Amino acid sequence: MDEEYARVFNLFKNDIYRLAFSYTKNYLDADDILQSVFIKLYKNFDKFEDDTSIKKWLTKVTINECKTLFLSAWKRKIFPITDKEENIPINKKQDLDLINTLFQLPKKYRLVLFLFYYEDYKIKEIAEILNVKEATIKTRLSRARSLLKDMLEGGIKNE
Amino acid sequence: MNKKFKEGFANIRVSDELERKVLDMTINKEINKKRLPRLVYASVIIIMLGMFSLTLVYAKEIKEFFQNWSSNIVFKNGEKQTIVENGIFKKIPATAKKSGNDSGIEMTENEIEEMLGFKILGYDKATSKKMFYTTGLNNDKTIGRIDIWYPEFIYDNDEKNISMYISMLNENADSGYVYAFQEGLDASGGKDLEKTYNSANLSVKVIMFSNDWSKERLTATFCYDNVLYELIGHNITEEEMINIIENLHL
Repeated sequence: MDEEYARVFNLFKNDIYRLAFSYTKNYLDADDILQSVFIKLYKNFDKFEDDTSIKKWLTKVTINECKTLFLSAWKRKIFPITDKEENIPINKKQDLDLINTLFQLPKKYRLVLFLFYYEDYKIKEIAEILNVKEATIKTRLSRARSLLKDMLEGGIKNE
Repeated sequence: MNKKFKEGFANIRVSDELERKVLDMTINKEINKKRLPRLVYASVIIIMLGMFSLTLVYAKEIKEFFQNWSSNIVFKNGEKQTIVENGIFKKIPATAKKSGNDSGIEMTENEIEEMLGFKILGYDKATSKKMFYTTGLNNDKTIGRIDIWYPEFIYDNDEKNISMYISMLNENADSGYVYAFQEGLDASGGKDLEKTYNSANLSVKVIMFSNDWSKERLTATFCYDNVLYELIGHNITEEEMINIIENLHL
């Protein structure tokens, strides 16, 4: 089981870290959340059948952990990413613009964009993960794209 | 667009140090546990053989050991306060919902009470009725533990609010859950004891503490009717917290 756990950890660690970071916009919080989530996974590891179910579980638990953290008023005093650009070694200016713009969006929009474009989840899967209706996800995605388009130069294609 | 997103996040990754930390707390912890001295292994075997040869009287003593539970809280200066001793296990109906892996079920207080067959403390001026119910299952898949998270128990605004955690053990809870309660459920670090007092309303000892990493956080914890309650306040004064506790009721 340990070898299998190590394999899964290596497979998903960065995705989960990026999800936590996209929500919290804070490296220290993302570190804490990653630790917490993977320790929980270790305790429940024998209950999963395949990587797909593990990934979805990790995603749900990470989001729950982020929400719990976010309810703390202290934790809400975070700095926008543009104030700490030096912390993110982005190679291309284009990437920096996209990520910076993403982080200016409200977290519910950041989350759906991340799950849709980074994790390649379908609407139905995102609805299941976030425990909201598909129609709500479609609306949020549409609004998020629209906001992102307005904020970015050149806009994005509707996909 | 997908490619742009993935490229944008490419340099945000888990550091080697963080990776080591996670593995040290999981698989490496288990590996280290396994590398016990032979003397320890021999002792364990002798003890196990001794236990197998004992009579039903000893078996009865093991059962009695778990007839009660306790819960404590340890502060950063090492001081320990007991929240409850000799807690009695609740009788959770077999029909109660099971939440699945860490995903809470959204329920109201009334729905939870109806499901469990007993009441939990409530507050007439609570901001929201929305709670999240989760279960920890025993090895035999029965419910060992229930946790209820009440995120907007009191919600004035983003800066000033109180969330509540409610936890309880079912009869025949696995030992892991019993020990977790005993060691204390609050995982926040840097705890400083602020105050203890006896609630006239609930007739229980209330322990209030702060965390050294936050000027805004104040937590109150107590046990009522064999259920553990933890109220986590942000920008809430001691007086405000006490006022709320003194107005809780079933």
